[in-house]
Amino acid sequence: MDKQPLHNLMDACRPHGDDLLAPRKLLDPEMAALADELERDETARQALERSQRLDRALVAAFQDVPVPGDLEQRLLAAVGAAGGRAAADASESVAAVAPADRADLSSAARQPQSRRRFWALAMAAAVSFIALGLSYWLVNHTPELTPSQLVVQAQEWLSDEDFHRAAWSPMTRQPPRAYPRQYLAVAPAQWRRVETSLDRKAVVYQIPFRQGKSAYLFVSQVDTPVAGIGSVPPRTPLPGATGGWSIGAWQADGLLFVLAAEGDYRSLLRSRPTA
Amino acid sequence: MAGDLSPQPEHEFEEPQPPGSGFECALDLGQLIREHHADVYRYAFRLAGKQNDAEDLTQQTFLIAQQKLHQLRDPAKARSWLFTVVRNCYLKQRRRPAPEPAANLEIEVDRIPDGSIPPAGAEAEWIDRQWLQAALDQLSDEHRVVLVMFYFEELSYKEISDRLALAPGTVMSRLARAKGRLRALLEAQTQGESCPPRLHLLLAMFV
Repeated sequence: MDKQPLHNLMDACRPHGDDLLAPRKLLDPEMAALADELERDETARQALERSQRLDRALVAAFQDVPVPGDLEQRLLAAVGAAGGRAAADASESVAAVAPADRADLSSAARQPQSRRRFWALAMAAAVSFIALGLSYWLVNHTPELTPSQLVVQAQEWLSDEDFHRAAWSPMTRQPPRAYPRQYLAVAPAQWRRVETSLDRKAVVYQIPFRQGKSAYLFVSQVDTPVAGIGSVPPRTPLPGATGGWSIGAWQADGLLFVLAAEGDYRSLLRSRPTA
Repeated sequence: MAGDLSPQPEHEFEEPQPPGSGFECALDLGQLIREHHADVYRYAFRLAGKQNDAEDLTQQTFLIAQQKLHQLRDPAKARSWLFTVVRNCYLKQRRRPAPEPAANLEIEVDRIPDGSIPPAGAEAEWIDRQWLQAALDQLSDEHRVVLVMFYFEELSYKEISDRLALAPGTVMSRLARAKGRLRALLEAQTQGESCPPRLHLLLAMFV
């Protein structure tokens, strides 16, 4: 076998794995060829042994990372895990009720036929009523967004490859009036439409910022209130942004404004809301 | 090449299920955090290299998990699912990959001396975690990612090729180049006095 493929195959063997232990006919053709070579060549066998010894040391070293003691608590706080647990508890209590329901049904089977028919009709009506109510609720209810979810969504907009590829319009071409910019102390350089998870026709403004840094104001038409978001830009960014971004959001007149900057965004804002 | 570094598509979050299993995920997010936050943080740290960045990545991973938990149907796959989320988040944040090292640093079997092999055992103590991170920080993203998948997740080259949507041959040669580069960087760092002699001896055989 040529040296290069041999080296590559040896490096592909896992230190604790059984990549070469299976019966020859069950091995991949490449690994079977390596196994043949190792049987023939003592030097190659020794090289593999040394390589795997070093790899075992590396596996141990890769895992050797101290974890901050309070990380778990901070994560639980960040994602609001208490709410998740409450939901799980609620579903458990629903499951606990189910056998009792079944018991009621089995006792109903012993009732006279007319009573059974009455109860069957009553239950069918109740189920229809609940289904109707649920459908109405699903159609009319938009789940409330949390600030943490908003930060995650904003970072997804920013990291979308299409976001960086699309063409921008200069400010000399008027942006849509329904998507005004607010509280900006710096005039945007350009704008364009952007399809976000909140509004398919949202508008984003690119704002001149420090050299080499980016700042954007996303304006979306969102009727549903975002919990914990005020009607003016916040002094401190929302928690949870990563990669050096600071993200602030405010909501007014049916519009949600999300300002994202690589660095502190406060220099981009002023106290008055008008454009 | 640049396309190889792209984060994997959303379908990666949806792990395959046995046909007709009808399996429902029994995990809640709190349980997921309690059981996996340490591993997720360690994985993130080996990719990002800094505590703050690793914490950010870890938090972002669990916030995404909060949104997509319904896609995880098999709790046994939670760990690898979370690692996929970490990897995708990390690659999304890294828009400019570091330049590919030009040097060919493959193992030269003929150069490996026939001399004594360092004694077995205690491998876990050979490599200082800070040397390792300093070496990883000098690698390109594509090399670092493939090494973390190989050494941390202990995935086979075929599993890595599936998860990164790359040809097995590409993964095999990339893995060999990445391992060669890592060994060379570690060997350069172990020139200092604090290096255990047996590690230095072993590393010297590969570069």
